[in-house]
Amino acid sequence: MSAVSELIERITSSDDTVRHQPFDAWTAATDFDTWVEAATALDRFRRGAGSLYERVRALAFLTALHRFHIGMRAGGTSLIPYRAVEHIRGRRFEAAIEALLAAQQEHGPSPALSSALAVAYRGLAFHTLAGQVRRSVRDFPGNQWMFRAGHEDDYPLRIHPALIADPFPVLHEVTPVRMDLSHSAWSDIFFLAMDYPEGARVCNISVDLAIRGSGQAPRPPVEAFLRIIDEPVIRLVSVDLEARASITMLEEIFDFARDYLGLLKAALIASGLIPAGLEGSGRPLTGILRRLTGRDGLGIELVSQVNDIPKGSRLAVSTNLLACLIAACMRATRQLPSLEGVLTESGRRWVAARAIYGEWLGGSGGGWQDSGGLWPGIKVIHAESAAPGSPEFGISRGCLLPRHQLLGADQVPAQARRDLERSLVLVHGGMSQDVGPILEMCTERYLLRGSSEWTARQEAIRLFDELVAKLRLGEIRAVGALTSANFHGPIRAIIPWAGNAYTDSLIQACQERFGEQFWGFWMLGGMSGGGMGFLFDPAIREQALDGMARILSSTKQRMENFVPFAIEPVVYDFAVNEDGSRAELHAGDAALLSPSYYLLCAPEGLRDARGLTPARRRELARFTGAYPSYAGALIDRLTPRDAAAVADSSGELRDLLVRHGFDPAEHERIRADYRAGRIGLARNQLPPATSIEDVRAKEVPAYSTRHEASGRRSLSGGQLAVVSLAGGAGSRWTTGAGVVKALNPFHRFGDRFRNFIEIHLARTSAARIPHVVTTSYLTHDAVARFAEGKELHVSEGRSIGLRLIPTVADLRYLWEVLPQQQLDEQKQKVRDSGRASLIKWVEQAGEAGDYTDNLPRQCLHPVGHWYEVPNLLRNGLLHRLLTAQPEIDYLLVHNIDTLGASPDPAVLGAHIASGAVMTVEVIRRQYDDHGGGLARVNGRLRLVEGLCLPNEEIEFGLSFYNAATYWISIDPMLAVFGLRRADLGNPDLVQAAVRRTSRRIPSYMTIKDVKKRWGRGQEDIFPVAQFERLWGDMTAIEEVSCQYIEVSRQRGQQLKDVAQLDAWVRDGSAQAVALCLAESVSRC
Amino acid sequence: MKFPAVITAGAPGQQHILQQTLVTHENRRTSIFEFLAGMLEGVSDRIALIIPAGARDLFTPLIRPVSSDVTLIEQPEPRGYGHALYQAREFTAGQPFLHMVGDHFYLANEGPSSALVQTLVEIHERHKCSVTAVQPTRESLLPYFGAIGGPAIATDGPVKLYQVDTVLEKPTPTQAECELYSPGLRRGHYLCFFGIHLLSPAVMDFFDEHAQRGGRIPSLSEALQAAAQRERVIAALLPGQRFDIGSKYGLLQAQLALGLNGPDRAEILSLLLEQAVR
Repeated sequence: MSAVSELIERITSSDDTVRHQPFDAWTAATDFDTWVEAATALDRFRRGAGSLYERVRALAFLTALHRFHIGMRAGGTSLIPYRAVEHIRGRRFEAAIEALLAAQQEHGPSPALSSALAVAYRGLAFHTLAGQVRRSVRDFPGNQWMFRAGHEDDYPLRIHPALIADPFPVLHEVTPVRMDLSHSAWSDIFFLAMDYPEGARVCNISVDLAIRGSGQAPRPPVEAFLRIIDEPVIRLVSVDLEARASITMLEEIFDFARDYLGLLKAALIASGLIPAGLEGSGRPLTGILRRLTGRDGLGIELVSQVNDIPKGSRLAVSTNLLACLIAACMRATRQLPSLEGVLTESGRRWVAARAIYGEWLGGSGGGWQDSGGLWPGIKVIHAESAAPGSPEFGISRGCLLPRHQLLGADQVPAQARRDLERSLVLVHGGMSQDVGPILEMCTERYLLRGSSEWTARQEAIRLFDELVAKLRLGEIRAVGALTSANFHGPIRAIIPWAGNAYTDSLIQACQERFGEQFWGFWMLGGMSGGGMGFLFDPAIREQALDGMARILSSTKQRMENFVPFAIEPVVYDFAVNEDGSRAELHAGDAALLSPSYYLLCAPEGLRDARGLTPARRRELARFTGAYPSYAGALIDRLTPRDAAAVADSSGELRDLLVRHGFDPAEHERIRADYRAGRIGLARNQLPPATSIEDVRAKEVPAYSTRHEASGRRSLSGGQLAVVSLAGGAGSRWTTGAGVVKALNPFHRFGDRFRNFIEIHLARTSAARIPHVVTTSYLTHDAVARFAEGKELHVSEGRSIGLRLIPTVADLRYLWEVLPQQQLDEQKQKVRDSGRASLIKWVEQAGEAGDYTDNLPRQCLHPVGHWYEVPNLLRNGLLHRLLTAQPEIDYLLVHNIDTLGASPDPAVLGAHIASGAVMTVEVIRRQYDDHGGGLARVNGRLRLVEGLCLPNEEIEFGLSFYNAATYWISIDPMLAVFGLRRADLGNPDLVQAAVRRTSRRIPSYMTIKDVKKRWGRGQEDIFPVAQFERLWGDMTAIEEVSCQYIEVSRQRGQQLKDVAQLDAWVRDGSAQAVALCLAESVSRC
Repeated sequence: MKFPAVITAGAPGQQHILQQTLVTHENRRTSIFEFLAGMLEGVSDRIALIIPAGARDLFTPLIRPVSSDVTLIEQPEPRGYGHALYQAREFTAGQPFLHMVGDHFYLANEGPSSALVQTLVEIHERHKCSVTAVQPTRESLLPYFGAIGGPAIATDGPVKLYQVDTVLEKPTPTQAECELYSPGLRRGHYLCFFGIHLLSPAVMDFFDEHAQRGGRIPSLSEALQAAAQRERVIAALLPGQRFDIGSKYGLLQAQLALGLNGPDRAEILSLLLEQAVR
């Protein structure tokens, strides 16, 4: 059998030993020509494959072949045809693949083409998988009718008659959340469970919670209330998010991101109360409500309440809240057999299937174990193989929904449950994280059967069996050892970023503090840092609870500048819930919702008591009668909130602005220009008559060692200093969380996590090269603290801007004119709805107004990295450095996230030999390289920013992308500023020189995302406008002679997004950094 | 063989429905009750009409024009449909019996409405079991009917037959989709009760078991479900239409259907058009 046939056999074989053979072993045993041949064969195969999973695995193989093999070895230089880019943007993956394969056929394989093919194949794989989950959800018996009801006359549901009485009774559903005891090694992700059902098993416990110290006993963390109201509307209320709406039109229910009520809307639709088929009918709700309630003038109210559980708990709070709301709606419409009490097994399965659908509607989705709170107590959940009759049969190996096997008291004795409760300390570590990239990484790795990941997965399955056995025996200490082994072993082997420096610190602190009485660590959910479990000897339970709170708090305090936290860490009290979801009907005088609901909703009614309906009036009277102690709180709510907190916040902002040299006159000028439309996204562009061409053949020399010897001499003569630009907030790295990216410990090398500065510092300290890190208002204090005791100079940023609320025109230009990656259907719908809300926000807040409604640090912005080099002059650091080491002639300036940038003697030698003022490193463009490149602009070779290109097609026609690594000859560059070394000691001269030069550099308006945190770990992302000047534009200045050198991708790639980490590890870049670190340690 | 027949009209005010009159092709005004009794001619010589307690005087004039032997049986208190039917236990005396709901009007696609009942009787005699007439019904109308699920077993002339495995009373579409499987129907359609049944004594026995235990008398759907567990029950897809006279415009629909089914079809259609464009 040929190697290519053997690869396809791994997809089609019914023999597990063949199917599970690792893809990487095959690539290691084959050569480039075989890979190209295999890619052609796999593409042909996947087009004809009937089974979904054969198709998807072929796509996964094709993605990996192009991304990590063909693309890394191909010698061609052909660029990506822009029509392929447009197809990928529009999610027309098949068309993109056609265009790319045609280009490959014509020009031969190239890294650029392979990078785009990898993106298109990957996109198609996930699109196919998502489509299958969507189809399975729609075809699930009991769900199909919702998509058929296309008109209110088709509406088939009727409200339960018990809900129509005077006063209207309140249906109250309470649901525990689920705690994942075993960690499933992500095996419950729908795609994965449907691919390998034999390996998809989870042990999951339904729990009640209370925040420790709140004085409350554990109770079900999520609640839903449903009742009939005497208004023909659907009233939605989220008590914990303090949001409410009275909806009169059907379309509003399908508008998820319009407000904070998306989850309630998803529940209305997923429960069938508003069938999905009605979307787009544009009708008022009155017809549906008449059919539902059997009368005119009645409506329903649906209320959600999360009891003090912060977001990111890893306890699937939102999925269980969704399930709780759906259960209430289904009970009320008689889709479930019982109005009250616990659910039946078939009822739980119906609700779980609807919750999956609801998650898809909201554009989210985890694994199938998440709705585990519907079931009681402790249970093992396992995937089911697709059998004849199931919608998945013949399409995938596993079913969408798993089976739940309850472990009752006969299987896990009561004593074991009590021991577990007494041993486990459940916490929310406070970190803010996006688990999405981890789930995608995991899916790809499993589909490829990567050898180390597959071995780890088998180990996780073995640990699972052992863990369940120990649980049955009540050996909690052994359970702790196994959850720890699972975390430190398989979980981190599969996804290294499941752990992080924060978690490591916590575990270490527990080990140091509690020694043998610390029994183990337990990771919850997709990654650690949020919800986590720590198991202790029950004998020290109280000390462990107190100690854990202190450890969490002090560790967070130490790390909060460089690890994104959403909330203060909390410790929970918890209890196993033996009911699962259950409901009660409150009737007569007891027909009331929670006190928190009345504190939120009653004040508005009381302010305008004439507007109250008689029923509402009577209800408020019942509430005050039933809860007299809440009268004070209600009156407090009636009066406006204290404005002191707001005043404090604006005072701090003013202080920060003054301290960092904010120029209010310049700010007002920018604002006036922005408001008048003289500057803005569309105005960033170069004039229309500008000629922009790609570089000519051989104009950019490739990296060579020709001048290495002279570079080495220069290095050993101490002529080089390194400048790492670290003023940025890493907007994309933490989606606007505002932490110091340079200090973010992002990857574990050997036994500990390292941050970006450490990696660069390891190189310079080993070579005794002076190293400067530039900072901004956001990063200075933390970087300065980090630099203490290290051979590191800190150049303090001296420039600051105040963010502006963007203009509607700019937002529309960004979202509607500039090319955008389309998302899958439902996610795109949610995104569009969210964007419509943001435009409303801009209109209300005022275009081009100061953005001040956030933490002060989040309202400011660094003004672009152009200033970071001049800041070396302004703050005197360069002067001091040159005074101390006058032999320094060159600077290597690089972005902190360009991890391959090193003081390479070959490049330094080439720079010296060229005699240029500046040498710029560039890399061959691949698909993900957006943001400009190297171009011949009006005849001059220079770097050009993506912001100022008239269209994206030009950008994709540029062969080289800026690696943002610059080699600068100091004296000639000072001359460009009109300075000499001797002038550096004169602050006035320097200031004037910087100001003069800055006027020659264009300012760009950009829109950045900024997070606003509120409530209990909730986060909103707002687009804000800011201006910046970029160092790359120095290449446009005539007297700055420049040389460009092509370097390898490993050297030139910047890490901008956490989702890049997986590829960064798999393409060998991480290994190169690890080697460098090891060498530097051995040299030291 | 002739069967005792039971028509239920136990709901308060139902005499008004049975009193409603329709105009026949022969321009004769006939009450709904007369229509129902007429459908039973030839297959039943005695009819029990279940009426609310104390309503005998209201119903007596209604039965006068009918030639069959009609017995009025009072339901002591309004305790549901099954309970109403159970009042005829002595009347049916352990025999198979015909049952029709009193608020429906029936039309055969071809021929007189009595052909529908006749067909049901023939199926019963051939298969020796309970037969319930069903009609494919859109899921939006599920809140109004009992519905059955089960495999198709044969075609008896123009009539499709199904074995009844599951019977649900007014199921939600969610339940229906999960529990009521019947082949050959359009998506979103279910076999719902037509309103005419020929029931074995097992149904009455089932009611009686519950009555003896002093519990709630189950609904007819529950009784049929229980009967289907013990003996064969067949559903027959009769070639006809049913109209719920109690619903809004139900009587109008029935009258229109009756008129359009006869020689005055063109005249009625032109009248309707005239009204529509006015």
